[in-house]
Amino acid sequence: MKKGALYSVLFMMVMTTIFTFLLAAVNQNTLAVIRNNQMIKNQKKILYAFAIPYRESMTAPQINELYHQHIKESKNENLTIYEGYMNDQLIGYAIAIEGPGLWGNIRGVVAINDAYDTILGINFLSHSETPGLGGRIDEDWFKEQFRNIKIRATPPYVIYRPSPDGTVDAISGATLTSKAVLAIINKELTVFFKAMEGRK
Amino acid sequence: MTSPKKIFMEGLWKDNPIFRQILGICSALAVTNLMLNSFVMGIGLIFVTSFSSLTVSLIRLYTPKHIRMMVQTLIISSYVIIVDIVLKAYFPAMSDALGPYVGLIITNCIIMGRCEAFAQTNPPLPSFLDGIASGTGYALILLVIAFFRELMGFGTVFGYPLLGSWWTKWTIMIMPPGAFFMLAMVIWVTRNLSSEDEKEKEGAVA
Repeated sequence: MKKGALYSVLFMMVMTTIFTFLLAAVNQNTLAVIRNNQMIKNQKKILYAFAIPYRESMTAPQINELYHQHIKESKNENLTIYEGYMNDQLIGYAIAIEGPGLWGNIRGVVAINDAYDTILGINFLSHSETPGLGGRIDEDWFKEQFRNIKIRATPPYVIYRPSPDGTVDAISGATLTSKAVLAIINKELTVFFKAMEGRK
Repeated sequence: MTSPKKIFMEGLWKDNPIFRQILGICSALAVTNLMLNSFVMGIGLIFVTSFSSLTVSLIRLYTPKHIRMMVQTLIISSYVIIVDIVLKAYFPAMSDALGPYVGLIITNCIIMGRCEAFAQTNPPLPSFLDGIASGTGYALILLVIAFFRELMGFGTVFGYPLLGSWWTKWTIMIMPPGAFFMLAMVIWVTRNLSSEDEKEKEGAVA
């Protein structure tokens, strides 16, 4: 059967239309679920940064409720600040951090206490570091190192051991990612302190 | 009509995409540092290969020959996007673990290879089975490679610590060179195991 050019063009158009509609339908039907997943994920990560306990078994509405009980979002110039409350007592502030990693941008949050001298915790929202190497910044042992560590009076606020003032360990086999993480934290803390100078 | 048993023999061993056809090597090298990643990647590939082959086979009589690859690419990428969306919506943890690799299934040569070599000239059901067989062949080899890389590199299997703290982790196994060593060894071993087939083929050519 000989098929002409017109047939080919029409065939391709029909196929493209069918598949585009199919994908659009799948996308439309899952859009809300995906957006909700993303929001809950971010809320959990911010709760984690403040060390506010939650259980993995909690449902999405429960997480959402817990989040709004403890976290209040406010704006200072262009900076979104998450205020963390424990028993209605302000325990600190969290800010979004972002900067270049080894392969792509690393986004995360860092929480600082209300005296601005201690990091309460950090967490990462998204990154594209090598799985198993730089990707280990997602692992608890790495993130837990940042729990309640005093920050230095002048920048850089956090440095790695074995420097005399070092408070955290880098990831072996992922030197560049480790360096990038500290660079991002130090940079964003500088920005934050500058913005908060009035309130300090 | 090819029997299902023969299709599976071909996909899993005789014509295994990895160690026979040397296809899909990029992802075999990239995701095999953890078994879980390899497992989900394998499932994703089985799904995409089988359904792409099925679809290509269903429309094979109506597809103009000279634009068939364009059509295949369209079909394959659609299925990959569906896999990506479904993982994001219903298995967010899995989606996070795999990250960009899901999207990269599109570039896996095995899928188009099976569409071209099999689905284009066979009825839908055998094509579908052929997709499953080839995908499984790929997934099994990935798991074998990942097993050794994760065990030697992290001392774990599927994230569970198997070797105690006495084990000195071979960091090189989870870095790219480890993937090349393991893949080469798997190809070497499997080729040796099926050396008889090799001779037959050589004889046929001569």
